[in-house]
Formats: sequence, structure tokens, C-alpha cells
Amino acid sequence: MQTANLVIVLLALSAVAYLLAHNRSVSLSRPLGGIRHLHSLPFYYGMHATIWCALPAILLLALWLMFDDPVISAALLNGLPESHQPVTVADHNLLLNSIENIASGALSREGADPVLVHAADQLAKMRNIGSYLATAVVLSLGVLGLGWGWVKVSPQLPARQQVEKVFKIMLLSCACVAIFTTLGILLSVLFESMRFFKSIPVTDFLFGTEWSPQMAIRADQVGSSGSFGAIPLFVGTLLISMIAMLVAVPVGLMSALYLAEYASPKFRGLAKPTLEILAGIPTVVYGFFAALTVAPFLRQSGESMGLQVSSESALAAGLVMGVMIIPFVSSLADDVINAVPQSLRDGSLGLGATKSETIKQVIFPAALPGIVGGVLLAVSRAIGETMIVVMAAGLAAQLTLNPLETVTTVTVQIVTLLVGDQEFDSPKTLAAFALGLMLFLVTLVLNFIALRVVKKYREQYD
Amino acid sequence: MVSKLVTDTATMLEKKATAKQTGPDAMDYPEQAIGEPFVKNPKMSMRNVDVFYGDKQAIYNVNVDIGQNEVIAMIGPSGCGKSTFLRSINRMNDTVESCRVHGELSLDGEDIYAAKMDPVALRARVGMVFQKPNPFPKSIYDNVSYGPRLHGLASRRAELDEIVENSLRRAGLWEEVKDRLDQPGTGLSGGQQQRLCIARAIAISPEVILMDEPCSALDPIATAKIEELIAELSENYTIAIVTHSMQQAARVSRRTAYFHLGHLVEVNDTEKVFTAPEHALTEAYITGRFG
Repeated sequence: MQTANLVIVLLALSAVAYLLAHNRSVSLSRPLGGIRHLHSLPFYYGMHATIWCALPAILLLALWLMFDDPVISAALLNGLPESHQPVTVADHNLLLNSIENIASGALSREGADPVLVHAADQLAKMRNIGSYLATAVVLSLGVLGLGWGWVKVSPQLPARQQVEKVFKIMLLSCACVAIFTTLGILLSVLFESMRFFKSIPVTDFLFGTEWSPQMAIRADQVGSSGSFGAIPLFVGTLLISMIAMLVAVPVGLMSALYLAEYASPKFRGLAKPTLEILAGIPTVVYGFFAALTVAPFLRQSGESMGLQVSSESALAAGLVMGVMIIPFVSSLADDVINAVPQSLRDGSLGLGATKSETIKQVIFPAALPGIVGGVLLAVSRAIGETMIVVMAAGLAAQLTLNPLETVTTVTVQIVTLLVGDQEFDSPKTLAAFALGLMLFLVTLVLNFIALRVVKKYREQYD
Repeated sequence: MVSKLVTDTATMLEKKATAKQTGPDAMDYPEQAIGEPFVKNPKMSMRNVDVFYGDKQAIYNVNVDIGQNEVIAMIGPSGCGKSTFLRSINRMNDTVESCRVHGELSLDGEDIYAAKMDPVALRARVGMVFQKPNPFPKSIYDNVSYGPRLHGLASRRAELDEIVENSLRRAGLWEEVKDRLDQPGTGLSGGQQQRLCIARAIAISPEVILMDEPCSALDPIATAKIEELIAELSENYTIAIVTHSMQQAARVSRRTAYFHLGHLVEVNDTEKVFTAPEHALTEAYITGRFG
């Protein structure tokens, strides 16, 4: 049976289990004088049987699916004559692939190695048997579970506690999914980076000032300098992020102050959603706004002042990125400013302070830790932003602090390194992982600081 | 925050509406407050004061004077408008959007709600201590020096130090905090925090101090300290205190005003209010029939 069908049948079976156990608990309670003489409500007896019916069977099915293929291919290879046994891993995969293709009909059976054709037939047969076997085992386990759940129903069974326990474990495993995914990504990036650092020394990567990720395929190739100094990329990233923050922090903060302290409820109700629409614009749209409107404008106005502005500049990308981050800063700052207790405002106003004095001297300092946390989160957003920079700041890795020149950032280089068909064994592509790792570490540290600051702030008014 | 205040007030007003049907002789308000609402040479005088939150009226035609250097207590059941009235005196109600105040309120004969009256300057003259201690999340020193700095009361650091020390001494807090002036005011105990707030209020030498249930969040010992402090302060300041505790009103005040559901029912010497109340509502409250 198809796996999907099997799951549907299992679900139906567990529904039956629920009904049976539910009804049994009700009928058991009748001679005792009602369901209040049961340990748990009938719902819990039903859930108890459902869990017994579905959970072991589904776990078994998952295990089966996981080990199905490796077991079958091992058996298949054992059945092959000595002459066809693969030597290397690549051979092994190739052999399995061609058997698979013959079995599915993608490769013609005619003209193929008869040994492989035979193996393909074997494969189809084993798959068939395996599928029947899986259906039989899983379903009988389900029925067994159902029976067990039904038999166990008794007025003394602490079904409520047991069901709670299973739910707790399910919640825990969901939480683990997030943690293990993060861990898995981190480890894979880490291992690929180590491969990169085998061919390029860490010091060259961290302290090199030239970025030109070209690898020679032939020794006599031209322009294959292949230098992997990450400093220009990080300088470019910092430059653009700084410009973005210079735009976003003052504008975002002051608009938050206005919205929280001065605006009438009507204006606030209108302005806040409008500001948040900014956050909903896709970054690609910001990107071409930067590339087609802001960058040419900067170039023109720069030239009219006699400045040399390149047509793709850090300034254009940074400005537009700043606009993009404004709602992020303002909505976080608005929240913390609103969280400052009214009693502090009253206290200050009651001492004869004006509204702006109150804001400057009481509300802002009280909200500062939260604001700093919000700004740091915005910084990690700016560092990770890619699309605007690709479109508006260019690709040339120059080591410069002049915002009018074209620069590039870490994320942009990762994109360009991995665009197109690539093989993951040259330092050129592996460099992307090393850059990713560095970026990950930087944003991790920033987020860590931000969360600590925010947490400290929260403790203050509780 | 503002909207919360408004809804709080709305629930207060609702309570009032239900209380109206159950309270004894509820509709029997005197045209004019009974007793002696007016004094000679008042520090502040209020005439025909009505206060509204939106469409709902919270204060009805209140007429009363506050004399020089006297402590006047305002008592009454919850939601009777004592706090609203107090907040109208230094225009703290300006911060509540829907609040409107009608009538003539004056400080030393100056109209408080006149167009040329600056509410900020007014609040420097009429200070306020709130129900819940609300020290700023700053050091003890900065809490007390906040007002003097704002109003430029000290030109040199030494002067400021002196103001801070004097205020803390008068608030009876100096001995307890003199070694840790640089520590946050929020780290003090509740009673100390409230005394810090009083020190903060007197640091700008206001003429009148309004206290809105200053002891309701404090334990009896801290309350006793604050009451002593009020007695001392009354030598130099005019104090209006809203309180829920009749004992407190009896202990600290010279005159007592009894509010009932937005009406000022009776104003008299404290002793007289508590021993021989003239109005039936006052008597009912004093004797604990409702409240």
C-alpha cells in the first residue's frame, strides 16, 4: 500500500479506537453511577486508546521508511556477482543509479548489462514485498494498540495523566526540531568551512585585504589570482549597515516618540499601520527603487557638486536599506516607550517638567535598554540584507570607506559565489560557507547582546 | 496609557451609577457644601467646578477654599471624584484627553485655567505626590535633583547638593540614604520610595503639595512616618491630601472635605466632621455604613 494511504487508514483506525474506548469507559461508568466515578473523563480514555493505536504504528512506519532503501540496496549489491562489485563510493552510487533507472524504465533494458537487468527485476520485487510487509506490520501494530487501549480502559486507569505526558513529549520533540535544525545548519556550515580552510589559511581569509575569488582550472590561465581576503567584504558590510542605521535609528526613534507621546489616537491609528506597510514591501522592490531611482539621483546631485559618484554606490544601498529598517526600529521602540509606566510620566509632569523634558530625561532613559535591544536587532537585519545591495551597491570588492564608491557585502558575495552550476570542491564555492560562518557568528553575537539587553530591561518593571 | 485612564474612569463612573441607587439618601445632595467651605485669605479657591470625562460628569459644582499652610483632607467612598478633583487643581488632568474642567480655580487669586497660565509653571508651584511611589529609574540624588535642575534652582553643584540634602532631611530620609545617593531610587523599600517622592516634590519648593492617597501602598510603619512628615511639612506648605483612611484624615488634617459621587457634601474642621457631622451622608460614611 502507498505510504499516504497507509497513514490515512491508520488515522481512521485511531478514530475508531477513540470511539471504542470512549464508549467503553462510558458503559463501564454506568453501573458505578456516572462518569464522575471514573478516574478521568471519557475523552481521556478515548485519547489514551488513540495514542496507543496510532503512535507506535506511525513510529514504526517512520523507521521503516528510513531504513527501507539502505537495506534493499545492501541486499541487492550482495546478490551481484564478484565482477560487478563496486570499488569506490562513486562507483557504488553509479551502479545503484543505473539499476534504479532500469527498474523505473528510464534506461532501456535492451543493450543493458544482463546482470543489471536482473538486479533491476530483483529491486522491483523486493520493493513490492517490502511494501506489503510494511502495510501488514504497521496495520497489525495499529490494531494491537487499539486492542490494548480498549482492554486497558478501567475506572482506575489514570488516562488523564498519561495523555498529558504524551502531549508533553510531543511538545518537547517539536521544540527539538527547531534546535536540531539550527545545530545541523551550523555544523554543515562549519564542516564545509573547515574544508575551505584546508586550502586557504584562516589568517589569509580573516586578514587578507584582497577579495578575488577566482580559481585556476589550468595552470597557465590568466587572471586566476584567487585571493580570499574577507576584510573588504566586511568593511563593505559595515559601511552599508552603518549608513542604513544612520538613517533608520534617528528617523525610526523619533517617529516612535511622536507616535507614542504626541500623536492623537486617530493619527496613531492611521500612521502606525502605514509605517508597518514599509516592512511588508519585498526587498527586491526596495532594490530596484535603489538602483533605478536613488542611485542615479545621487550620481546626478553628486556631479552637480563636483563629486565623483559611481553609478552603484554604498550610499544609495545604505539609504534605501535604512528606509527599509525604519518600521523595524520604530515599532520596537514604540513598544518599549509605551511600556514605560504612566506613573513616571505623571511624576515628571507633576514636578513641572514639560512634555519634551519628560521624554528626554525620564521616558527615553527608562526605555533606553529596550531601544538598544531593538537597534541591535535592526543591525543584524541590516547585515543580513542582500537584495538591495546586489542591485544598488555593486559587486566590486573594494577596500574603501568612501560611501560614494561601489562596494560589496558578505551576503552579496555568497550569492555570486553560488549562482549557477557549481561544484562544491573548489575553494571558490567553499568560500561561501566560510563567509556564511563568519556572518552567522557576527549576527549571533549581536542577537545575543540584544536579547540580554532586552531581558535586563524587562526585569526592571516587573 | 491615556486610554487606560479613560476606561478606569469610565468604570469608576459606572460604579457610581450603581451606587446611586443603593446609597442612603443618595439624591439628597446639598446645593452648597455644608459647614465652612470658605476661609479668609485662601491659598487656593475653587468655585463652581464641574469636571467631565467625555460626556460623563465626574464632579458637580464644587465650591471650596484651601487656606494658607493648612492640611485639608478629602475623604469619601471610592469613585467619588476626590482624585479627579485633586488632579484638576494642578491641571494634571490636561494629560487626559477627554477630560474637561469648568469653573473658576485660582491660586493666590490667579486663574489656574487662564489662557496665559502655563500648566508647567503651575505644576512647579503646586507639586504632587502620587498614590503609588513612582521614583524615576535614576539614582536617589538624580531623583531629588530632577526638579531643581529643570527649573534652574541651583547654579553650582554645591547648591544642588544642599537642596538635595535639605529635601531628603525634611522628608526624613537623609539618615537612611546619605551613604548611597548614587544608587537607584527604585531599589528603596516602598515607604522609602514614597518619602523619596515627597523629597523630590519639596525640592522645588512648591507652595502647595497635593497628595493622592500617599500611603495606600504602604505598611503601617511607613504610613506613620509619612504622617509625621505631613505634620512637619504643614508648617511651611499648604497640603491637600486625598485619603481612604478616615483615621489618617483625623490624624493629619485641620479641615476635612467629604465628597460623595462627585458632590462636595460637607467641609468643616476635622474634629467637627468626625465628632458631629452635619449631613446624613457624612454621618453614614463616618460611622461606616458604606464606603
